[in-house]
Amino acid sequence: MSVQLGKVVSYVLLERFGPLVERVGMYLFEYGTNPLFCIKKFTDLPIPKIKESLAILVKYQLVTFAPNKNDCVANYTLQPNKVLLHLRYPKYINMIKKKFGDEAEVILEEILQKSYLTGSEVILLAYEKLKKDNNPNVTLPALRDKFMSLITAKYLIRLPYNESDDRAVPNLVVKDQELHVTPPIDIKELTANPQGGNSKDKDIYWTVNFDRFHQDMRDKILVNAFTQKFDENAGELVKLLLRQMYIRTEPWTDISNPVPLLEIKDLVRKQSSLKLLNTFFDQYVNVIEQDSSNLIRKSGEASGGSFQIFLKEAFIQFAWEIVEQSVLEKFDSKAARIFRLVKLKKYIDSDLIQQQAMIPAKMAKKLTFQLLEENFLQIQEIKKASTGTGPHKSFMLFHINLENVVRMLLELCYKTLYNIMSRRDHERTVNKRIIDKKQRVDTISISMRSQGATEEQLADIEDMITPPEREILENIDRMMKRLNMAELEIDDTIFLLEMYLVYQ
Amino acid sequence: MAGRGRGRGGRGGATRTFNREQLSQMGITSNETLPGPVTQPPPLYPLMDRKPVPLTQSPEMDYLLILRQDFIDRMQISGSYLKMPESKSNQAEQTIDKLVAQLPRVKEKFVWKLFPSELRPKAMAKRVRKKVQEDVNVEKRLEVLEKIEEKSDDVEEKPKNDDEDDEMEQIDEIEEDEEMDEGTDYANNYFDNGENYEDEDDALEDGPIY
Repeated sequence: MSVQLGKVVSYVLLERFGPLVERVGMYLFEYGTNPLFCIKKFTDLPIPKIKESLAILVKYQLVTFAPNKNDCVANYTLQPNKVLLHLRYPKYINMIKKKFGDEAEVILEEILQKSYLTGSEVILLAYEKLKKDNNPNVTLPALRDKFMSLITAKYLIRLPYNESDDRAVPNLVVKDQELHVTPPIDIKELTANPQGGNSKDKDIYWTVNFDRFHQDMRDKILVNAFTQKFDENAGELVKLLLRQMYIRTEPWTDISNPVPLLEIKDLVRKQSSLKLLNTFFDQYVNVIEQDSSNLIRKSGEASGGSFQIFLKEAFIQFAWEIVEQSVLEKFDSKAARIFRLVKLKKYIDSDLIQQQAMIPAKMAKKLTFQLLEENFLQIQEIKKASTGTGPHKSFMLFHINLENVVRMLLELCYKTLYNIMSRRDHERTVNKRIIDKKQRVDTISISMRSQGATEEQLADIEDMITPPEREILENIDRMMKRLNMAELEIDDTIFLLEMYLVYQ
Repeated sequence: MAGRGRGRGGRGGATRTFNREQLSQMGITSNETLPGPVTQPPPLYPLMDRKPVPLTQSPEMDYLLILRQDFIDRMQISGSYLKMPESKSNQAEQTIDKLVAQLPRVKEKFVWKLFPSELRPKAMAKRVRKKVQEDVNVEKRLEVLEKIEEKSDDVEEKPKNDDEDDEMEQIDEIEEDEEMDEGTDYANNYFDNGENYEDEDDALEDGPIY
């Protein structure tokens, strides 16, 4: 919870929910958990508006509530991390598209759009949307099957529901065994009554299970890492290892239960596309085992050997990599060398750094202190026992506290996000006139076209935007695209850093 | 007193303490000159030392961008996007804004079962309260009418026209009384949950009833 994070949260809310919701959300961010009348008192908005904003925030699961002491008033708490997830929505949608196809993509999009829906609602909405997009061979049963498979694959989970109706602040619960039970959906009923209404699964709402998506993203990072470091076969092997791991282990444990190698060997043999991996199987296993990421370690020799998967270690290693990479990009290779030296020696005196980094003493000193200033290095002071006074009474040892550095980098990412968003906002306000004009011309030409105007007339309207204006518009477009792209890329880094913190 | 003599260095009457050279010779400070204190804040937009690595473009990235924009656009036209209440100062100037403002505002649908009851819009609460009041009124009215009937029984001799007038008057009087009562019903209004506060401007905005 930092100022930088707050600014990012504010922009995300503003872009998706408008200024009112942003005001309420930011009040909750700054002042923490608060009841309705406090929000009213300090935000100075009309009560109905606050209520609507809060209802929207609660609906999108960005704000949670808990009953007050006297049970009739609720206290509201903003979940900033959930707000940040909004930046990742395109990635979730794309993932599902790749894995389950277009129908599933539309289903997920509808649910993300509304936060939660009943099964029949989703299917009907997705059906409408697909039909509108000229997708002729879409059928309700096919959509239902996709929806069900999303539930069984745990990408969708049941929303906690309210059991007793009488309380002022409902207590929402869901039993563990109900989370992934598919609801009864009657296709006949849906076709007969397309408005929905009283379908069988009326009060069973489904929402997105972000954890499941993160698990997939985590696996993808691992597979990508090995694919890039060695080759596709190594990546494939890691993928199989993870798949076999899930059979015996909870997805988020630090260290998995042992996975027998024979099982994987069998799988490799069955897949004809992995011939090379099959031939050099033992070599690949060896290479991965000896890799610096320490992902797998032998746990026993029985039945051809079995391996444990050390996810935590792997992500600590990835965090190191990303920190080193940032030092390299920020301060160049000499500083990166110093940073690696400190990492290698754990605790090191500044004189030793100058000697061992093979960099001129003065420069080494300058870079070291630059790194210290930017919080990549820390100083530990150790008093010398013998000398009482004087300048050399203590050792100044440099060291790295990885968790601190990761948290600091995370802050930097938030700051970058904020910069990107405020820049985008700025460009939009500066060029508002020209963007508006473009929009107007577009709407006019669309309406003219629908009325059957001639090409000449349309060209006339298009000419209302002068060439220099057109150039400016193109520039804006290009810049927006770059900023948006940077936003998506930064989120990847944030995800990796968060993964490290999850495993701490 | 003894301490004072030493501390002030009065022995040789020398000017002050050691100068910089002497200090560095003794090894108390280093030979390098230290930079002076920084009195200015750092520049707002410092020059970047190095150019960042360019972003990689790919079809996948393009698709993600489209998805992102689509999603935000849909959010902005959905009922979850709340605009600031209109005031005279921020009325739409551009025609396009006016057109947008004319679009029917979709109200977001909520499943009220899953929310704290205090968030429900006034329309529901209001309706319930009015009904209760009406019930009371009917009973009272019946009582009043009964009384009037009794009275009118007593004064049967009066001409019918007059009687009716009287009746009306009485009813009026009682009604007025009632209104007065409601007005001074301190406890009732005081312990209202405050929803009536600043309520005039949004009488129409309470939204549909579910």
